[in-house]
Amino acid sequence: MAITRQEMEHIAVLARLDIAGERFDRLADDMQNIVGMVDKLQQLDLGDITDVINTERKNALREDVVRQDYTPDELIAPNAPDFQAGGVAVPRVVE
Amino acid sequence: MELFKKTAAELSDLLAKKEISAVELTKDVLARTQAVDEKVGGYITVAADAALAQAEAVDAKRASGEALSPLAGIPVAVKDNICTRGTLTTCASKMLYNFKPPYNATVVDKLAAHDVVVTGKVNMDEFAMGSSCENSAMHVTHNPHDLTRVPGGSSGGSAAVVAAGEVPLSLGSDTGGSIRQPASFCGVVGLKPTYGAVSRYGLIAFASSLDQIGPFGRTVEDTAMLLDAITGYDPMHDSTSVKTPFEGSVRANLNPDMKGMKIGLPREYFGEGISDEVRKAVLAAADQYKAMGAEVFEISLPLVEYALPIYYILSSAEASSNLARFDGVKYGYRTPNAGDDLIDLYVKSRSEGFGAEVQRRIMLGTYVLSSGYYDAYYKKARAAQRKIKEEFANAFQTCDMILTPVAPTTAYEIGSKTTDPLAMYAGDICTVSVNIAGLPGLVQPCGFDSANMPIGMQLIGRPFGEQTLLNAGLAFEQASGLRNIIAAL
Repeated sequence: MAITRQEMEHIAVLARLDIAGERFDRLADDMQNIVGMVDKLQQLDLGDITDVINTERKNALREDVVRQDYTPDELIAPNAPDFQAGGVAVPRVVE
Repeated sequence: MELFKKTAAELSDLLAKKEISAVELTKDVLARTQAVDEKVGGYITVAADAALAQAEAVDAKRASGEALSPLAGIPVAVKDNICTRGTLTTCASKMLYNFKPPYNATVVDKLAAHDVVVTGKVNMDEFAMGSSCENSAMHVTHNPHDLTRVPGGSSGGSAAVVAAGEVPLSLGSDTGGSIRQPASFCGVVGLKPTYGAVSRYGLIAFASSLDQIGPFGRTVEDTAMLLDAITGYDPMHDSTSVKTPFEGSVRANLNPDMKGMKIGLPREYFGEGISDEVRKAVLAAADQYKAMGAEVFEISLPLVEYALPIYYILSSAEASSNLARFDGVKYGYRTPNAGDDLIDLYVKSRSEGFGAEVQRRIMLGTYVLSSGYYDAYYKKARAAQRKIKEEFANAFQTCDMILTPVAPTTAYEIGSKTTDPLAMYAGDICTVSVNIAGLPGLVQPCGFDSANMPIGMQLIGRPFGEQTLLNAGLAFEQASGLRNIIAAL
């Protein structure tokens, strides 16, 4: 399956990536080649295997116990790009 | 005394007999790093002060007569996608250039419980995506056996520092070959454990259903020592971790008797595309096993033909989802160019913070998961994954282990594959199936090519067959003498 320009732009929106300008052509070429490679999978006949559920594994559950190992100041502040008044600052979302 | 040339097992003995101290040893390996790492470029962060402090603490414990782990005081380097509290953990990405984790990965806590001396954080392809270490946003790592060549990837730093004698042991991670291929390129031993054998908590996720942390060493015994320290069920933090039958006992149970062992050679792994020198060296290893009393015979694993498409679909799909968390908000890189629009902040932070290969994988992953393509790509690849698992399970009804090449060639020149992603991906053909099937894979040197570059071989085992693999590895090592190879730098 060839990827169209529109599809590339749509995927970039979904992936929150900016692929505009001179980067577009290079990336479109690469994607075309990579999708061409993975397309080989279409030749594989899976017979009656359609189910992707992994039946060998069971969910591993544990008790939902409340813990507080860190305060926000310890956990978030040291790595946050913009930490103000106990929270992470971002551009205004709600008017 | 050139302690850096010794194996971890030898160093462990010297430490236990108090013939050397952990401080002495740490200073020796740090001096080696000082002398050669400018050329090799293995490290992103050398944690010299913390390592020396840790070494002093171990020496004090030993002086007080405390019973210690065989790994106590042994220096270990850690791949830079494994979280170390308070120490930079960058994933070799601009996105995490300043990230200091508030917590330790489970494996790092386990190393601490064994009083290991962590020497620092080593280079990798950005977010573990790549096979040459050239996708690092920090710097290129050079193969210690020939500085013009790549060390392999993505755990290229982990392999290079061990091969260069900068440290006897290291940790890497393997999603599609990222421990095994660099071990092969650098002439060291690397083990990708069975999925679930080692907790992934604190391993920055690339493809969660395929990722596994594992050890590097210069001998099979050393590799077993480090494996013993890191395996274990981690119910609090990783629901995919499991109890292993060999917990903590692999080194003690090493047994190189190969009599009656059945080894399969899958003909599809020795065909076109594999260089003559690699094929010859691996087949010579097969003969060596025969001479030791093993039964060696041809088998067939035809689905390897589809391994690369399945791997690149599954791993990229998971990567696109896992890497959605990097948005410039909570930690890591935030663009200074966003103005006052939140979406713009996400898009610019991601586009400026991620390198080209990471963006390609995110695009592919988003594509194969997107409406209209999900069934044809992602769903089909998941179903095909079952077929691959079944194919291996069938093979293991007739053999105990499978012997294959690790990569089509030995280490290639830096820059020779960077412009063609497909050429780079093609090099993963012998390793990705092991991750798709969740199996253990051991790589160790089995010869050198005409350019004097190491050739590796891969032994694939049943789920939780690590002991069998390492037994066979030890047998080959003893027969071939190919062990503790340190590059002349």
